[in-house]
Amino acid sequence: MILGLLKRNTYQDSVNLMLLSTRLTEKEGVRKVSIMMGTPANKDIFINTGMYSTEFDTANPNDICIAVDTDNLGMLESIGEDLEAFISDLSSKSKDVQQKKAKSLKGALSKLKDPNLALVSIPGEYVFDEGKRLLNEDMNLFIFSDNMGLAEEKELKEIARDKGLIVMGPDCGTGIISGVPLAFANVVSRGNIGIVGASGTGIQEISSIISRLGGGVSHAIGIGGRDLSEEVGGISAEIALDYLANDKNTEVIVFISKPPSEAVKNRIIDKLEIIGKTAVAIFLGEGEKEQGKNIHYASTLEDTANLAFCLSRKKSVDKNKVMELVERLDSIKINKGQRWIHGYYGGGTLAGEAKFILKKYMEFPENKIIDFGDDEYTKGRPHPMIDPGTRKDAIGRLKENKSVAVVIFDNVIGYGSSTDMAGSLGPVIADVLEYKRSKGEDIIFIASVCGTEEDIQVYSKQVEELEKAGVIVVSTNAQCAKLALEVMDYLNGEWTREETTSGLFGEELRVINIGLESFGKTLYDQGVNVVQYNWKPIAGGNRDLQRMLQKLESV
Amino acid sequence: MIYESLDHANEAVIAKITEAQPFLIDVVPAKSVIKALEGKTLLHSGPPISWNDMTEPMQGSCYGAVMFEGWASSREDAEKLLSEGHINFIPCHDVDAVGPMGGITSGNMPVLVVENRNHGNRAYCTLNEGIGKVLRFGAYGEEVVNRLHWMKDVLGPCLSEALGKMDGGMNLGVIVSKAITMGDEFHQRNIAASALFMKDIMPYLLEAEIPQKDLRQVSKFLADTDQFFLNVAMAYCKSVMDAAKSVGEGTIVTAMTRNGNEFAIKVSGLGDKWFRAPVNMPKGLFFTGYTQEDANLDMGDSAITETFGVGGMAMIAAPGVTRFVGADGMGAAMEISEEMEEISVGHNPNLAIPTWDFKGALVGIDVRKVVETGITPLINTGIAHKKAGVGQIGAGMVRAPYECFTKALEGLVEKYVSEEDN
Repeated sequence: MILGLLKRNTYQDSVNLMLLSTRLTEKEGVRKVSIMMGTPANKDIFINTGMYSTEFDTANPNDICIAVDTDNLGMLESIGEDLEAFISDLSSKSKDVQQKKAKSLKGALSKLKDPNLALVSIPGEYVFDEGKRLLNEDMNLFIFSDNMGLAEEKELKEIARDKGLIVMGPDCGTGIISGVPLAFANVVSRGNIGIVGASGTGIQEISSIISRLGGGVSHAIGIGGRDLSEEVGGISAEIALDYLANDKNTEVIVFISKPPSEAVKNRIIDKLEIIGKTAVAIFLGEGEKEQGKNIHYASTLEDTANLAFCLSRKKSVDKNKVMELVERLDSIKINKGQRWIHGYYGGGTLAGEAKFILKKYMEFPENKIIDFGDDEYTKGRPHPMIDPGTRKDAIGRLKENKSVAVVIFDNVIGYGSSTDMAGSLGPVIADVLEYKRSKGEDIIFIASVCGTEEDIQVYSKQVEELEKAGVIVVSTNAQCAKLALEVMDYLNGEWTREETTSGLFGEELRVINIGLESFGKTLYDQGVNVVQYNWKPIAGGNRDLQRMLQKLESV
Repeated sequence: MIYESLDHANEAVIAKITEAQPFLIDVVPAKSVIKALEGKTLLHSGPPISWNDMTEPMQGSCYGAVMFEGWASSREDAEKLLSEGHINFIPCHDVDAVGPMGGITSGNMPVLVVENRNHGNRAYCTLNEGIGKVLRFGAYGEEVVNRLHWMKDVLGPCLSEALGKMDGGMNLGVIVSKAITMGDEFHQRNIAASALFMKDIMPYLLEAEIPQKDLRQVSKFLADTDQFFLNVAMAYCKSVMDAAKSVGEGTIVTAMTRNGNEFAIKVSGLGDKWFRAPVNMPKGLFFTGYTQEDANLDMGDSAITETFGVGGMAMIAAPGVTRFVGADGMGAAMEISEEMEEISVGHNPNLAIPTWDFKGALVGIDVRKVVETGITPLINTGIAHKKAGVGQIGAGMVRAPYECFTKALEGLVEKYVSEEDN
């Protein structure tokens, strides 16, 4: 049956009407849709095509006529809704190329869906009012501005806490959230160390040292210099610690503070003790303290970084490293038979260490960590640290092997060893990878190089050679085995990508930058979804007008 | 207030705007529809103004109108009549009319009659005279007065006859919807709409029994007059915004206008009260031989187009004029439109703009948003020479003064916030 719907006084050109018609035709229960403006000529077409409805009797050229062929009488209502939705949102969804800018909060909100962070760098006297408006829109705050009253800081932080949000700052100079540096921050490797600090440069120094050592940072959360004061009571510090406690990417927590109020300090220490993750704490200006149950105390920023780095190394490899491989892993995961790990070692102790780390997989005979230096492989031929032959053969055989997913190996350089092991193994590996990929398959090679820059083979050259061939090279044999372990766990479905995310610190950042344009530009350049809100005080800062606007708000 | 909140009231105002249905139904002598024009009375643009406060181009228009009406035969006689208070002045806006620039309208000038069928009200505007030495920009020489006579004797009656043959008149909503996709913003650029107007009316002009000579002149005039549709658009917008005003509540601007001395706005919740402030000086590009120094202050009822949401409010729709009006290309046009978006309530689904990813033109300037952000509406405008008699010397952009909006905000607080809360 033909149902007719009229939308009066809404002119749309035929292109729009055709777009709408295409959309409506896709609806379940709709056989045919015809949409035209109600001109006399169009009405004739409705009649001639058998799509006329008496609804159209009164239609004018400025009215949209929709004819629907359907058995479902209730269809009209839903089509009416579709029509309204369609004409209220005609804008096409083209990709944004320019950085988005706004001059009011509403303008900014209209340009970015569900922002989760506001980066605030406006004059301190305005931060309280603006901060409340932003929290009201469910945004976490990163307040770079200073000169804010203590009571106001506390109130903002309490509002945030009640809404499940966090206020970083005020006077927060630095932060790193999910690898994205905010305000003054360094480009630091991602890793499993989470930092909470009431000191901007303290965070920068520690995170930089960690990164230089080869470690990485999950998040660095600045809480502002006065958060740990008696008045504010460490509200943001506690929220930040809770975040990190729940964050799967964080395995070691660093807490850094200028001397806090004693009561607040005790609360923080209690929290760190029960948080269930290893912690390193530094209360600047205080001497070394005896280690607590979970807390290691340090007295300098360097010690803090070193301790955190060492402790982080004891942990499993952080999942972000695996995430960098995730597309390759997902393609391997499709092949259900490809789940085994092989290790091709020249060094016996290194092979033993790998076996130990991967022991949960060693009970399956298909998983093999082979020490090619073992007697059975060296009968009548040189040791594999000198002669790459046995390992070249083993790697070459992987071409036709459809069950091995991960291969780990060592490259022990130094006096006595092959002068260029990487140069021998590299081409074979590259060949295997190329062959696999030509067939839509993949395999992961992970290795470490044992040696130094001063060795004749030169550590960095060996690393470079292997990486060129497509090998993921990590800094130690233990890291190599741990990464392999995480990869195996991922392939076996023990964890998924989604699990690694939680709250602001797991979501993709969507930022409204209020104030200093350079902060927003930095984020934009890093590919972060950011709207620049060129803030000006409401009504030009005129208090009378602000009051009047406020009064009208409740009308 | 019968509405739950100001936002709800504004929704009702917006509905009046987006659901309007303006038709051009006739062209008639002004005095036949505007009773106030029966005596020696002239309409002018902007809020009320006295002869002495008028800037020269508006005074120049008055000379021309007085001579056209035959109340005086020379500029000197006209000036005497005008300065001695023998002529009444009424704002166009007070009598359902709008007029470009000086807005000077006299009883025998033909006016467009636009009927908003959704609300049942009508609006009037004179016919566009073309460019250069024209009455609205303050020229009053012989050629100006002669043209006015030709418009009264030939153009007006011919258009009236043709429109009479169109069943129900000309559906302006359709023309406006099409023309905005063709690069018109209806203030500075109307070339597409003017062409569509001519395309639509031509068959009926041919059908009407018009002498060949007149037909040739009329079609030549329509073909030459790129801005012909501006006056149609103004009457269109006036008919729509008067319907919006009838809601009687809310914070939406329902009129913006200037008389060369003051800029004034009306607000949906505050009826016919004008909120005034001194006008700004338009900035723009000038015809050869003229400079910013020669420019007159801002004037005209044509800002009714911006009030409706086109003109400067829809800059992004008209890439062709962004350079002409001083904006530096598409990027700047986009910035302007995005800025104007911040003071508007929504988008008009009838006016999808291709260069804006098919977002609709803006609708509903909210006084609260203007005061909050400090962003004032941007108006595209022609620029008159500050001396009477010269005419148009350029075109550009001008901002509505912030003070109009802060005053209106006070008015809104007075109306909507009870004494004890205030």
